[in-house]
Order: sequence, then C-alpha cells, then structure tokens
Amino acid sequence: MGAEPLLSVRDLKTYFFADEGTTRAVDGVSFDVRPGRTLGIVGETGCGKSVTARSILRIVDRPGRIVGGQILLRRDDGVVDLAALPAKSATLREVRGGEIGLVFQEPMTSFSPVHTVGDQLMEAVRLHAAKKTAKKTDRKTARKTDKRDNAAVRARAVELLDMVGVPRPEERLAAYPWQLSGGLLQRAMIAMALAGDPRLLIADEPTTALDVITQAQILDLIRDLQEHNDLGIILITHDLGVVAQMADDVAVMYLGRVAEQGRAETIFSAPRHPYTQALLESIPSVHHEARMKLPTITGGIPHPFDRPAGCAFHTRCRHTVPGVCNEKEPDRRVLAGDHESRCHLEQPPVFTLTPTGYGTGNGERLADNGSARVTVVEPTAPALLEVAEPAPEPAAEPAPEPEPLLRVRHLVKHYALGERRFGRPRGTLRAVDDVGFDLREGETLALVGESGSGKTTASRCILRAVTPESGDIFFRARSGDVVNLATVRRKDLRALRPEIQMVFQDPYSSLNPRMTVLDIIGEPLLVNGVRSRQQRVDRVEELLGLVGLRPEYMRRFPHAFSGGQRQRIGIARALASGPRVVVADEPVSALDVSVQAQTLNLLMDLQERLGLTYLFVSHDLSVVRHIAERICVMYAGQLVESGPAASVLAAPRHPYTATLLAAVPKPDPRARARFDIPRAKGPEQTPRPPGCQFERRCPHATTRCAAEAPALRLISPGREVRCHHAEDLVLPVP
Amino acid sequence: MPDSAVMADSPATADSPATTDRISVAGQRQLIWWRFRRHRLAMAGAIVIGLFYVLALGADFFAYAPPNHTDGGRTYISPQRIHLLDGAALSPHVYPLRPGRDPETFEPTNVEDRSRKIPVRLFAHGYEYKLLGVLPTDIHLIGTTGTPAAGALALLGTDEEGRDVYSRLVLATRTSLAIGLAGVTVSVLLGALLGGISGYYGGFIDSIIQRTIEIVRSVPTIPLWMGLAAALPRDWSVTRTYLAITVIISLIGWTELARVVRGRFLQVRGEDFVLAAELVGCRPRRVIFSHMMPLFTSHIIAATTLALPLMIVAETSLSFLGLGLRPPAVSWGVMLQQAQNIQSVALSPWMLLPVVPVVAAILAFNFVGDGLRDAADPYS
Repeated sequence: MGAEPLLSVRDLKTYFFADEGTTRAVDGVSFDVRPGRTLGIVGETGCGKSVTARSILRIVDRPGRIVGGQILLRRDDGVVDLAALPAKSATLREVRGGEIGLVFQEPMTSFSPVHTVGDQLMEAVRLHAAKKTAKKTDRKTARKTDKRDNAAVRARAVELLDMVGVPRPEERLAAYPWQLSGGLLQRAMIAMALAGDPRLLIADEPTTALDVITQAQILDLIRDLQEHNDLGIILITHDLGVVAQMADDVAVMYLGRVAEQGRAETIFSAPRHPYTQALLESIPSVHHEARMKLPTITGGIPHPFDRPAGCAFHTRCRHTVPGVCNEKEPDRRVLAGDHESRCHLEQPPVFTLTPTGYGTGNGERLADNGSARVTVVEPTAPALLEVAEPAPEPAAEPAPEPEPLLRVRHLVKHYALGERRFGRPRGTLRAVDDVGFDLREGETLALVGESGSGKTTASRCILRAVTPESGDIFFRARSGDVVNLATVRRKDLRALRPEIQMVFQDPYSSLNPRMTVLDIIGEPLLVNGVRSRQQRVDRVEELLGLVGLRPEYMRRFPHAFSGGQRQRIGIARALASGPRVVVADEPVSALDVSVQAQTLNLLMDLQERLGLTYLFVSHDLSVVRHIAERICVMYAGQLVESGPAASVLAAPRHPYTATLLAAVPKPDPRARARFDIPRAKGPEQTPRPPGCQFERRCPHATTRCAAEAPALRLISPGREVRCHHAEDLVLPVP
Repeated sequence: MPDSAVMADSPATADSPATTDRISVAGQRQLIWWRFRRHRLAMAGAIVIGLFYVLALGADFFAYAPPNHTDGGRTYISPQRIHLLDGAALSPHVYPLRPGRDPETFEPTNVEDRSRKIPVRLFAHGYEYKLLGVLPTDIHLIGTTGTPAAGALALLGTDEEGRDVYSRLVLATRTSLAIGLAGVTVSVLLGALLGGISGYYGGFIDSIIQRTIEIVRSVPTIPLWMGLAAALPRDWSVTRTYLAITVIISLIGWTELARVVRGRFLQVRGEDFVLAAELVGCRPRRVIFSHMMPLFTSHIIAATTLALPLMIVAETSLSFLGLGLRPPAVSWGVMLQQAQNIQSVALSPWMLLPVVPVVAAILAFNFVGDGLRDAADPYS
C-alpha cells in the first residue's frame, strides 16, 4: 500500500430530486484510489457506479446534486475537497482533464462528428498546456506563445496518439471520428483523457461497446499506461471478468452503497457479502460445465424509489434473516485489513472456488427462495401449449443421422458501399461470403465472431429479413416439404414464418411501446389466424407462465418492465406461434450478469420442454460455451472453424478462434494475462486480399497464407477448419 | 447497457403497489397526458386556446353589436367606461356618448351625456343571430335595456365608420381561428400522405418528394402568397375567397409536416419491433397502421399545434396586405389593415387591439405545441 491516496472519497451522497421523489443514486460511498493502482467499481445497472464517477468530476446532470460527503484530491499544493468547490470554480476546470482524465463508454458519441480527431485532440492539448503555463506567466503571454507553438501542439498530439497505439498517428489527425473504428476511437479518447497529463484516470465502461478482441487490446493499453505514468485508475464496469483482469482493489456497489470492498484477490476468492457471492456465481465461466444451470440472483434490482427497508439487498438475498435484515440497515464491518462488507451476518457463508467455477457448495440452489417480492414465478407446465399444431413429435424412427432441419449452402450476401444514387457504389462489402452449415433438430448451434464478421447477416438471411444474393437455405417444414428459404416467394414465406422465430438483442427497441404485453405476445396469434380474443388471452397467459412472468402483467405496457423481464416478453412472443427454430441474436448481451444467467437458464429450459432448435448468435464465448452444442466461428463473412462446442473451445484449431478465446477476460484475478495480439498490419482494404482473410492479424501467418486462400477442410470428424496449418499449429489452450 | 431507470423496475414491490400499477397499465396517451400536465406553460397555453375557441364558437353571443353596423355619429369613440354604481346601489350603466375632441390637443375624447343613464345587464336581448349556426336567438352576454346596444355601448371603442371594435374582434377571432384550423387540416392530410409515402417507399419517390419540398420552401412566402392571392378573381364571394385563401396557405404549410412524418417513418423503420412484426407474418398494411403510425400520431399532433400559429399569422399578414380576406369579412388581419395609417396609431390606438389576440393565440399555440412535443416521447 504505502503511497498516500490520490483520491479519497468519503461518505459521498448524490441525490436526484424529481417530482416523483428523491432518488438516492449514491448514498454514502467511501473509497481511496492510490497512484499506480486500479480501483474497480462493479455492480448491476442502476447501482450508482456512473453517478459516482460523474460526482467526482462534478458533472452530475440536473436534477442531481451532491448533498454530502467529501471528495479529497491530493494536488501539488495540498489536498482539495472537490465536493466543496463552487460549480464553476477555476480549480474544478483545472482538475477536469488536468488532474483527472475521463474515458466514456461510447467513443462514437464522445467525439464531435464535425471536427477532425486531430482538432479535438489538439484543442485538449492546447487547453491544458495553457493552463499549466498560466500558472507561471499571465494568460495573455501564454496564449501568444501558444500560437507560435502550433507545431509543438501538433507534435504532442501525434505523440499522444502514438502512446495509445494508434498506427500512423500523423494521418489519423486529419481523420473524422466516423472514419475510425470503435477501437481506434476509444484509443483516441484515451489519448484525449491523457492530454493534460492527469494522475487519475476514470474509465466508465471503457470497453463495453467494443468487441472482445478490441476490449482485450484496450485493457492492455490501459495497463501499460498505468505502469508508465503511475496513474491511479477508477475502472467502472459491470463485467466481472474485466475487473478481475484489471483491478487491484474492488468495490462492489448495490443501490448506491458499497456492499463490499477489498483487494481484488480477496473479493474474488473469499467474498463475504452475499451479493458479491451471487454475482460471481452467475458468471457463465469458461470453466463451467456446458449446459449446467447457472445459479442466479432472483428478481431484479429494485427501482431506487422503492429502496427496501433495512439492508437493500435483503429482498434478493438467500441468507436473509427475518426481523434483522429487513429492518436494520447493516453497518460497515471491517473484516480484515482493508476488506470490509455491509452485512448483518456474523459468519457469512463460506465461499470456495470449485474446479467447475464458483459455488457455495450447494450449486443446485436455482429456484427462487419464495420471497413475495420476487417477480419471476415458477414456469408453469407446458402441457397446455399446443395451440394449432401439436408439439413436434419425437423422431419416429431414430435414424442414425436424421435429416437436418436447416441446411445452409453457399450463402452469399453483399452490400454496396457508399452512395448509390449517383454512379456506382465504391465497392462491395461481402457480409456473408459462401457460408454453409447444418442445423439439426433440437440442437443449439452458435454463430460466433466479432462485429462485422457476418454472423448477424447470416442469421437474418435465414429469417429472410434479408434476401441473400445467392445460395440455398433448405428448411424442412413441419409439413415435411423441404423449402428453399433463400428463394421462396413472399406469399409462401408467410406460411412458414410461424416456424422460424427470432429473439432480439435489444429488449428496449424490440417491443412496441404502444402495445400492451397481451397485444405484443398475441400479435403472432392474431396474424396467424387466432381470431377469438379469449383464445388469445388464454394462450398469452400460458406463454407468460412459460417464461416465468405473472399472467396479471398482461395488461401492462413494456415500460413497466426491466430489461430482463422485457427479454422474457420477447421470448414469449417468439414462442407464441409455436416455432421449431428460434434464432437468438445476442439475446443476453444487453443484460446484467445476474439477469443474463436467468435468461440463459430459461432458454435452455424452454428448449428441453418444447424441443426447440436454437441458432444462437453471439460474440461472447463464455455464454456460447454455456449454451451451445456446436459452434461455427465466422470471420470476415466466412466460416473459419466449426465443430462441437466442447472440442472447439478446448482445442481451437484456427488462430482466430484461439485469439477470440484468449481475449475473453477470465473472472479470476489469479489468472491474469496480457493479451498481446499483434494488431492488423495494414489498413482495412476493400479489395479482398487474395490469401487468407485473417492473414494480416494472424501471428502464425506464412507466405503461403498471403498468397493462397485456404479452403474449409475437415480435419477430424465433425471439425472443419479454414487454415493451411490447422494440423501443425501450436495454439494456446485456454 | 440499458441504463434507463424504467418506471417501476420491479412491478411487484409491496411499497407502492397502487402507483406502480397505475403507471404500468397506463397507455401511451395517459403517459403523455401526465407529462403534459406537468408542463405549466403548456397547460396555461391550453387554457388560453380553450377560451379562444369558446369565444369563437359563441362569437355572436359574446358580441353585442353586428360587426358591420356602422354609425356616422359614433366614429372614433375611445373605449367606454361602465359605471358600476348608481349612488350606493349596484346598477351598472353607461351614458350615451358623442365623439368629441379636446380643444387644445385635438385628441378624441368621449363626451358623456350625463342626463341619461342606459342600464347595462348580462344576458340582454340584442340583434338576432343563430347560436352555433342553428339556434335562432337574440340573447347576448352583455347588452343594454332600452336603446339597442349597438348604439350605446363601445367597450373597446369604435373605428372610423363607427363600428364596434369589441364585437368585431370577437367575430374576427372566429374567422381567424377557423381559417387556421382549416388550413392545418389540409396541411396535415397532404403532409402525412406525402411524408408517409416518402418515408415508407424511400428511394426515387423519396427523392422526388424531398426535392419538391425544397423547391416549395425556397420560394419566398410573401411574394408567393401575393401572387396566388392576386390571381383570385375579385368578384368571388367572401366564402369562396375564404376557402381559396385556406388552400393557398396550406400549400406551403404541408412541407414541414411532411418532413416530420418522413423523419419519424425512417426512424421507426429501423426499430426491432417493426422487424419483429414482419417476421411474425404481418402484412405491410398492418405494420404501417398498427405498429408504425400510432408511434408518431402524437408527434403529428404536436407538429400540427405548432403549425397552427403559422397559419394564423399567414392569414393575418395576407389580409393585412389587402390580399387576403376583404371586407365585409372580419378577421384579425382585416381589422389590422384598417389600422394601417399613422392616424389610428397616434390618435386611436385601440384600433390596434387585434394585435393582442394574435400574439396571445400564437404564444399559446407554441407553448402547447412545445409541451406536447416534450410529452409525446415518455422515453426520451
């Protein structure tokens, strides 16, 4: 420890005053940040993590206000309490960017699209340079020297971009934000935060909007910067893997309070607060047994207006002591050294790191604990489910290799790049480029890849939301006919729609805010011929029970539900028409860890009960590992590897799969690793390279890879790989 | 991460089941109303507009003199005073007036004939009219007993032909507000249709419509109106001119609405639930009318409310320029046209009174429009 804390937050309180009531977003938070160390703040959505960060910089939006506590920042000339400074004080302006740098979640919206990256970066450099000189000389001279120093400012901007690993920084200065990729922009954003040479960096979900590989690279970068500049870092995230990889100290927040804090190793290996324990358990870890039910935290975070009395977590806690937890608020309890927790339990349950992942020993505790507040009810029996057609009968004669439900062959979808109105498009984007796979009845097949790999386009082609350029999608319809979905006419397609349904990623935009739950789930019934309202009501009731929502919720509008509940409604809608195939496009990536686990459990449960077949599109390998039986890895519109999930993830044969796996941050601080993947060697080029698409990013590339495109080859039963060196590469095993 | 704190994140909490449930089952319209109600200026505006339309509907009831009743003996009377008390008893009355001039300043003054009292009362008999266009009656809100009100009262003064400004103002309100409504209706129909086509089909059709809008909008409005209005035959009847003016005004007004509708269409098309509806097997008609349209009706209403004052101003300016409605029609613009000379501004400023309702109506409509726009999107 040793070093004096750079920043000490003491009993910080930030409330939001609205007409409906006061939201205590941050309610008595205390922590220290020391130079050269990283404090990770974790918690589910709505726990007050971001508001804490914004409070430190005093940029809380109205009607929010800091109502108490201290934010003590150590500066060269002593300690200053940021919470006590007037809102427009010069000191605050100096501190922002000068001593505390801030990195936001969305790099795209944090830059102005009308100025070049260079202009914005140079402005930051100039501002802070002016401030630093202004201390010595008066401002006028500072400004004069500034003008002469344009070249110096530029040089500093280039240096900064270079420091954060932006290739060819001089050229990038002239680029507009929308011309750069998300990863590059986030680097530029970090460069901007570093422009004033801050000693403290606040990163608010810095990698949430990024791909898993880009995320790993940015995390590496932040680590390097910290080492070189002895930065103190506050890292805010909901991703426990990221925290485990990055943080020295961890603060777990729940409803505006710190539930538990301590050293990262302690928090991850011997957490004492039931909330921390439950969070850790619900991570679908790569170590989990495939398709094992994940332990979950029941229910969702209560709205801050409805903060439960006593311990805020008691409504979801499995160790609640009636008469204590729901009445008295627990005090901060120092357990050992700097490990402290807010819990009444004298002897918190023992928590061990089991070989299969985290668990309290009784890993079977899955159902809710009977609390009246829990909104998720036990799913009802699916016996009543048949509406029009009977459930798909089990394969009559168990043939050795049953005909797959869906056979995709040579699927191609191109998009024109650039304006089409005048003249020709600049080029074509081969979003899906000769993709083929089989989907067998009752299985879960995962399409995996980073964004832009074509996995979503491929899945949309199967739904015929997008019409492919060429290729075939043979679907064995319920009637027994085999239909080619790629070429079927719109009129005939409508009859097939009920059999293939979709679950969307965004639980907010996928439900029509104008319709009640009854109308939303009843819609597929209505358009597919269930005219009687009573019949629809009955059926929706069943479906709600099936996805674990109360039938009384039928008359409510989507705005009354949390993200996880909305996702359940989306699932119910997909099931309404009695589909056989469900395409799930990142169905849990917008959800909090605990809700993610609940949703995954539900999906697996439904599959078993209804005999569904899933096409699961995801970039998150730990989720995929958990739910999928087979995996297809896509890169640049092509399939690069496919095979049974267990074997692909345990022993990847394509360097891209290995890279993806290595990039997943492991939720174990003892297994920290640098990522160290070489960045793309050249710019993204529209004319495709003649050789392997992955060649420019591949650490194992040879001259053959650059010249000759590899074909998808069968290397062992069920395993296909698109790599020249699949058999002889030594790839790191996760 | 979806970071929005959704109302009632945990609908089953026991703390406030009543309120949470109320919000949970509240439809879009209800949510908008709740939000609108919190917008104080908009609520005030809504009340003002309500009063205006009540005034317009019962214009003849609120007036006491026929709008075109002239009286050479009663020109340029300044606003008259009602004496409330007669001795100690409450007995509102006025004295007959003669216009006169101050011998030194030549300012017009009222010369009261103190020898005769004319009692003033509510719900008095006056000229005959049809209430709401159907009920024949002669009851007016205020009136006099004995002499006809037209010859005795001048609450807001009279103009150069001795016509009563107050009564004319009340009737002008009806004309001006009605022309605004009619103009906006035509605009909304045109705008929603063309904007909808533009947004839904996109591509070439979209380009054509958008370019047309740009061309229409690039023409300076006043000269365009002047040209079109000048083309109206002078011998058309008042009602026909009235209709023609409405159409002319709305020919410009639809462009703004078309853009709003197109923008919303484009935005909503990208929403997942539209795709979800298509995947479920909905036909395009159902997608458009059941899923997309209801999402922006509130926006259309807000845009309409904001377009109304433009219409009113347009009518007023046209009539002010002498190109719109012509006497004997009475509108705010027509009345202001009569106040076009320096004499009225300097010597009989009450002739400028029509400016007050114009400003009040426009402000009120703008406040309501703003409030509606803010309330229309409970999730923004």
